[in-house]
Amino acid sequence: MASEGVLATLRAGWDAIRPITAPKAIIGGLALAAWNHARYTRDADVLVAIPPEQVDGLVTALVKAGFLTRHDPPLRIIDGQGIVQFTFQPADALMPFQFDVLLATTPFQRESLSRAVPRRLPGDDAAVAVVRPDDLIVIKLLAGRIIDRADAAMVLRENRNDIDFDHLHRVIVAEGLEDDYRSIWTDAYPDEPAPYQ
Amino acid sequence: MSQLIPPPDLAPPGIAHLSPTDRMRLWAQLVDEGDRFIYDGFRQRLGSNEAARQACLEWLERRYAENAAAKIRMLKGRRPAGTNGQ
Repeated sequence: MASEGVLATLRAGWDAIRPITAPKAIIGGLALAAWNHARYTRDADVLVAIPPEQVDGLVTALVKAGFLTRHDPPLRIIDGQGIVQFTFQPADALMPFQFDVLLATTPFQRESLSRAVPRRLPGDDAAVAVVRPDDLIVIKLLAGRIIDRADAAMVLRENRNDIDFDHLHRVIVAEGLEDDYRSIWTDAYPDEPAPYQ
Repeated sequence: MSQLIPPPDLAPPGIAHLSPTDRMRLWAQLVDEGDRFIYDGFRQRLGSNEAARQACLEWLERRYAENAAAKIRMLKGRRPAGTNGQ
């Protein structure tokens, strides 16, 4: 029987930060799977709109739940962006999992948190929040690796009925992602003309 | 011409017919299978469980570094300086 350690990590992490009232949502591999694209990625990432001065409470909650901080001090500010990284070793999992808390600061990130939808984890009655597919596409395009762009293309193809294209196109323009979006559109829908031609 | 993903007629079967929880479970099982594949590869190459586990941890560290850079890029966004992204 598989350990499903990545789900155990997300369940433990979300339960630990659930009492923290800041808007938050899952954006990593679970979000991809929730929106019809499952691939091998061990990313257990949560986007949280919490100011840096309140990160200590979040760290305390996660450490109490068995998570180990990867850095000292736990909050790293890289290129002006805040990230807190943990590891978690679920019972009977082969390897530990990383659980990253990313601090949301931009209007797009905050809006994506406000638009997140509840989803129930397997074997868990309580819901987590997962970003919507249109916001996930933008997140992936901003991450920018080839694998992220492929993810964005798959989410675009597999969620046509759930994507708010007016919202998506507005954010694509605001973030300056028109060229990237044209490219994944061509991948997702080869027979249809791309927007912004 | 598709370059990043297979064209629709050659793509593997989708998972949209599954419930959201079943899709999540499928992903978790895929991660377990991938981890096992990587671990067994190291085990076969290095000859011991301890060496395989250590190699896995080092492999994870390299991935963490690459992934962190992508996450910071995502957080930073591409908005022109001085705009609020709207």
